[in-house]
Amino acid sequence: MKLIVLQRKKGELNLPLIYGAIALLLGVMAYMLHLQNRMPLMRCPFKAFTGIPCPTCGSTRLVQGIFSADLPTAFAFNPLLFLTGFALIAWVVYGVTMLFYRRRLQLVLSPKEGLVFRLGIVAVFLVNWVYLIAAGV
Amino acid sequence: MNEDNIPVTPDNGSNENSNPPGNGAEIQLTVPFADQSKDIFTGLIETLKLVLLKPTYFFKNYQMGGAIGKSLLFAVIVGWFSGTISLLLAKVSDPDWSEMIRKIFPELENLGNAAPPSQFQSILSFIMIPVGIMIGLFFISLIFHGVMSLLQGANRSFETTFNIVAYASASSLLRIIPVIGGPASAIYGIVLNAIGLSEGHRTDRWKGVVAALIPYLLCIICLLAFFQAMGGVDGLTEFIRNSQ
Repeated sequence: MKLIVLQRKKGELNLPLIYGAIALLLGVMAYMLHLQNRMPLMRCPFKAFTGIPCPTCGSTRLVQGIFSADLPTAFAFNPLLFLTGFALIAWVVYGVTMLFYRRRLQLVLSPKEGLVFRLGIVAVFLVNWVYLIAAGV
Repeated sequence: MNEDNIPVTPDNGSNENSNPPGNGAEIQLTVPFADQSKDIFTGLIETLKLVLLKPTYFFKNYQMGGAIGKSLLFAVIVGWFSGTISLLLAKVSDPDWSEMIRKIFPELENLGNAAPPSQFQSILSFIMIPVGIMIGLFFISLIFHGVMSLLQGANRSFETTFNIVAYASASSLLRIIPVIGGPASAIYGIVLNAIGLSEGHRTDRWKGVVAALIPYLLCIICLLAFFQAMGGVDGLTEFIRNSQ
């Protein structure tokens, strides 16, 4: 596994900033709904029909928990989405640094490492889902 | 992690990439909508024809890598147009889907019962359509590219996936057909994305199909689980009969 620094090409997309802007826009909209106590608590059709939560169940309550500054409760509602949110913040910070230094990082993996990485992502996704089912989120 | 090795076409009005053949590089045509020698309307119509009628040829031979500005504009124009027309058509011709769904699922009693939007809300929604389209494109592209990467099918950059999704959104034009437009647009959208992802990323067709189906896969699992829970065809028939 190697982490290499590359020169950014002219016109290359700054994806962290794009997704950061989208997340910020949606976050502001959600916060405005939260302030007015109008955050829609959606009924998950998957859970309604099968009785078990879907992999994204708990996300609305997670966001409410964050807005109420109750981070442990927010984490308990969906740990993977909670951590993904913090990973997004780190990614956006990286995007901001790309603006100033005009460099980008690239992770180079061997085929074996790539396979382990992909299986790891699937495993984390499944473990989180099992947790949601066990915790009855 | 692979990057496109196809250079961005210079804006010189030519219809072909300036990449010299013979050194392993492919010759890729410039998408008509992105071709600066054509006016925007001609480019739009030509691109729509290619995407809707010759999708395999289009995604295989036209340049999908590079800048995303033109494809984004294409998707916004097509989405805004078809969204507005379908909204107007829905007022006069579409059946009351929410009423039908409420008959089958009585627990969804509030479906479609929301107060009609005010004039200000309608205008705001109309203005916000492009923002919604842009957010949707980035969101769907991220999911598709993630799934393609997991399947080891993402042989090109994220920009390629984004451009494919943006041009494949031409299927939303089918929404202007009354009654069946919505489902037809959704189904043809899956087909276009599957073809686009496999041809654009130069990978197996099944990988494109899986990636294009992922957002719908959960819905299918959900429906199957529901069907199973209702006791198959007999149980479902009985349930619907009792609901009426």
